[in-house]
Amino acid sequence: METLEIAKTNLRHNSLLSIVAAVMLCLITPLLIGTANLDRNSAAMPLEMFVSLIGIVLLTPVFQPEQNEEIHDLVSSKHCSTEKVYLIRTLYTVGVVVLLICLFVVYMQTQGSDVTMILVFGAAANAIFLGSMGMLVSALTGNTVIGYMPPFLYYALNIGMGPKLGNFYLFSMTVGNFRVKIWLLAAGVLMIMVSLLYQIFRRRRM
Amino acid sequence: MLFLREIKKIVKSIPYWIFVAAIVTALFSQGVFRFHEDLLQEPQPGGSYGFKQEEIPEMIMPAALSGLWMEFCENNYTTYPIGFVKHVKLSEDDRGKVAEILSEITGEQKDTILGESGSEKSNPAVRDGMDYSRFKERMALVDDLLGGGSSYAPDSLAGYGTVPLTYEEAKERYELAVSSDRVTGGYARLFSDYAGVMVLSILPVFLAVILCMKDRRAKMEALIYTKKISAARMILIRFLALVVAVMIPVFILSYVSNMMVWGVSKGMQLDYLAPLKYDLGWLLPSVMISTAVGMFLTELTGSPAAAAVQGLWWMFDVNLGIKTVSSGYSLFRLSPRHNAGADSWFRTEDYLDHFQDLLQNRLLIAGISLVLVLLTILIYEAKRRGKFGGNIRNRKNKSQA
Repeated sequence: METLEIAKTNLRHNSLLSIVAAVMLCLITPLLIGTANLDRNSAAMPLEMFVSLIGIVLLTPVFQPEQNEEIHDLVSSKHCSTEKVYLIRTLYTVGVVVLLICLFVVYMQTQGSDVTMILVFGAAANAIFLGSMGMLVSALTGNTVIGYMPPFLYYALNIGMGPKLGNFYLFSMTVGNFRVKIWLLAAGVLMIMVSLLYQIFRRRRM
Repeated sequence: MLFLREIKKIVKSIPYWIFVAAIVTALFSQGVFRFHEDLLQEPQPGGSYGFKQEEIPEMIMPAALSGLWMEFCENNYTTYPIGFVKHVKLSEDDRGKVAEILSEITGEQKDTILGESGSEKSNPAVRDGMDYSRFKERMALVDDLLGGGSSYAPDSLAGYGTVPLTYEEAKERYELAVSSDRVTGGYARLFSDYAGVMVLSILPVFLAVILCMKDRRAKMEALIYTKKISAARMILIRFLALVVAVMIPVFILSYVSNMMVWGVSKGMQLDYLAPLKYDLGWLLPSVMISTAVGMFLTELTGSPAAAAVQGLWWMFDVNLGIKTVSSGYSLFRLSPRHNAGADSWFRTEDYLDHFQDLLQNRLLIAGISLVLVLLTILIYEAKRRGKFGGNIRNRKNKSQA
């Protein structure tokens, strides 16, 4: 019950703006790139290149509210632990990422594109990987804006270097490679865990 | 003094070192520090020299017609409106309009064309006496019906006229690279192409946002408002400090990259100032706009919204790609593109042909940056006087209380 209450409050007060930005990104994607009548590899393009960016928008600011010292002090004074709040926020954010990707995929299906569950998985892996990179840097530096820099750079590197990035190539599904997404997802989950652990470690040292 | 203090503040910050690491990594990944492995070679007779696109009507018309016919039969047209692939399906009405155009080009009846399209009759011929300029007009109409970005657009039709380069032409290109670019200019241009698109048109916005939000985070805003320094001086110094701090590694890296070919281009008249010229002429406006957007929107909204706005603009710009040479130099490009190395003799002729476009683009971008800086000054001054932003809210709260 308490978990649900924390999630609801955080959704309303801390995540609404990010969710609106992510929805906007999904809405403008079909205006920029074709989403109709695409075969499986072509259908991966809007998902990998545009929709997966919602990961940066949603996950990077997970620690932002408590980066304001006053809010941090206030939250710390409550009986519910800050770590629990971080965890709940991370989990529902990942849920929102997956939900938005699913909705976009359903939309693509109605447009006659050949979309399958593997594309949902691949796009979610990309989003979680990029978002977790932002989350980790935001945790390490204590500044969300700095957290946005590395995922943007990594995205640019993918455009510049292409498949040379091997298992960490973000746009692999457009060239028919679906297996590397496991690496991206694993690295993403790992980075989320490290950033959460780092927050606990930092709090205990304070 | 204040200028130096601001520079020191930027250079000592973590984001700045992330920026430096980013630019080194991005450029390293594109091989700009290995230019000595890709030297400008004089073409030798009897070799293969690559291809060029030429407007040869006899070649373009049948090839473009064949492509259009195939797509018309499948009612599935491939376009690249912003650089990414987009498949377009036309309505019956628009399909009829394309059939009319095909009818004019082939000389066949519109109804016959619509009837045959189901049976996928291959390669209809261009009718005798078809005028090329009229053909281009009709194809431009097809492009309009498809929403632009198709291979039938006037600036893309030449793509159907790809022919091999002759030895003489290759030699001419080589000589132009030696005489006009003086070798180092071509390498400096390639460096600018990568540095602009991968880092300098996006990451400076983060430095600007972080610096402008620093006062707010430290709750020093109100204290700084009370200082004697004018808003114009304060904002200009901050803008200059950001731009200079960003350009320092750019100057160093551009010379490091360019020097790789100095020692191995013996006997050639090199332009040792080429990296500096490209840094200032090509890259500086991109840095200025990215910084100005960051400062302006942060001051206006008090949030990091600038990062999202610049990020979106950058996404558009990157994905506009280098589909055609002219799109690489179009007026509103955040970062102009000219991705040509020594193996294509730097495509110096394309650069010289579009130099006016480049000049217009860079001046416009620099001009917009200065306007944004001016607006930032006005917002800062208004905030200081309590006519805008946080102070208004405070006043409201007081009156409500």
